Amino acid sequence: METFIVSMGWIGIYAPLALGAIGSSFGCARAGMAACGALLEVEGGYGKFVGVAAMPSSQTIFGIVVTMTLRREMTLDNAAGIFALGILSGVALLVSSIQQGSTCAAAINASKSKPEVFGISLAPAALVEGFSVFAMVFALVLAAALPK
Amino acid sequence: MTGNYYTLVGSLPYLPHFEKAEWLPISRLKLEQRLKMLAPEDAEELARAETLAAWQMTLAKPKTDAAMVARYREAMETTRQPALRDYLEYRLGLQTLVAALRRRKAGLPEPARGELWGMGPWVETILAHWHEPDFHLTVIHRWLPEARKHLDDRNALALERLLMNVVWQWLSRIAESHPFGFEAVFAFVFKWDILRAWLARDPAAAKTWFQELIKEVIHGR
Repeated sequence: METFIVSMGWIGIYAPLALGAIGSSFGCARAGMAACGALLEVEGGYGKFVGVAAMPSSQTIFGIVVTMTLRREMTLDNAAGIFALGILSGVALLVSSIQQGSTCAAAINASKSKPEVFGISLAPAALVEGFSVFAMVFALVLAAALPK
Repeated sequence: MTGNYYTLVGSLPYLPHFEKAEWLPISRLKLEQRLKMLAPEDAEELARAETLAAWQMTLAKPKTDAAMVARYREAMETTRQPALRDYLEYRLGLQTLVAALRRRKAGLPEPARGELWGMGPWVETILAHWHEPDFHLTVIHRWLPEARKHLDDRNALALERLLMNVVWQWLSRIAESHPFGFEAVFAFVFKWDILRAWLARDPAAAKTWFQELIKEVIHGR
């Protein structure tokens, strides 16, 4: 039982990074595919579409930060807390990056025909990014309360 | 279950409302090139649906009511995509309603039971309420009284505009529900078809479109 609890703790440490990376892959792929489609339709300004497609990669960085913060000597006292923080922040990063990919794809689709809405069309993607930041910041705050 | 077509949807141009458009934003040739990104089974279903639900008469469209009904039933049995099935049902049901209005206005008798004359979910309701002005379907089809008025006024253009608008709105709704799915792709194709049919009725817009095509050919764009 003790080994199981400690194993869960290790899963919790790596979960934010792994789940964030999975989500970023899906998100960047969605937005990237939309960007590739838009490249067929527009005459210039390709770089901005590819840049937008990279937005969902930030969740992987947030995942790395949370993982590095959670890393500590694993004991029976802190394993359950690490597991809970790691898994839940990881799921938040996973879902937000996939959804951010969809909002980025929609922004690319809207701004390819109407370039003047490019900035405002990114607002939904920025909002979704905000939720990832919340998940990361409060994971860091709560990680400070876990036994060392 | 529908797949996602991020690249394909991203490669399609913005389609303005048919009444505001002055030219087709993409040629049929280019559209077909883009549609090659569809999965083979989706492409096949869309092509089959186009032969049934194209706005204008095409060579591929069945020529008799019985052939049309048979093709419709076959399409409803073989089409996997539920949204496309819904569209065919709606579009051809709408066509049936207009045919019933025209038939009644022409003073023809109501269709006999078992006669192959219409398609869609409202055939029985139409027959049951043949002598009511809007076949007891105004709650579902709010456009029916207006369509009847245009028929009475012999205003074919206004009727065409109304029907196009009703179908356009339906397609816009389905595209919004799945912005990067097969739904968005087939909605684009059928809206493009409506736009082409509308522009074909406007000589000035047709001329502008023709000039654009000439420019495209000359400059190799």
